[in-house]
Amino acid sequence: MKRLFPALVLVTAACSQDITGPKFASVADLSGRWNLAGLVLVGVPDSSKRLDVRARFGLSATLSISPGGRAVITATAQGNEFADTAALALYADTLTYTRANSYSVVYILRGSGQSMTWTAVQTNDSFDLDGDGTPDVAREIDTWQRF
Amino acid sequence: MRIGSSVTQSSTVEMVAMLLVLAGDHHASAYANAKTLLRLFRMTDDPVLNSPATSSMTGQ
Repeated sequence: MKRLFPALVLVTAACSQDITGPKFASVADLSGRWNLAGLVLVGVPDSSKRLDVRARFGLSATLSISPGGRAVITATAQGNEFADTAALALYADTLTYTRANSYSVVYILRGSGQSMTWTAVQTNDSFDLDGDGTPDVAREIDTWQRF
Repeated sequence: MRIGSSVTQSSTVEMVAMLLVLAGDHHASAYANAKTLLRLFRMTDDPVLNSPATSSMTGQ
């Protein structure tokens, strides 16, 4: 038992290394301003195929979320500015992004107080990830860092 | 700039696809790439963006 206890402590510490704040229990926990730290397309099922969308298109974006779940994204890509508004809903780890009077995108939410990752559930996107002229099935993954 | 509010969705996609071809993307995949980028950048209101990519531009 004496040897087991330190091992348990180590395992627990290893599992919680990426925890930098409280988990997101409700959409109110997401409120605040976020900076887009990463936006990648990952091949499905071949995850070795990847495209760093943020780097390739010079994308920068800021996300503001109200305690009620209203989201406003302002972004710039290659000199073009654009904005989007949406309603966020969180149920367990499922985050639904519903654009104003438009469609929804469902993500799996991971993260804690200072950072979060949105992994799209849908795999209907396609993009020529390897440059061979044929579209590849891809999944969107967004990473946000709190300001 | 807000793309998609004053032109049809299909012409918006094809316009972006053409820009991608000019930037070096393969002609055959540019339409699919454009559709995905427009969705990622939240530049379109098309509710069926994720339908299979078809285009007169690519002939697919």
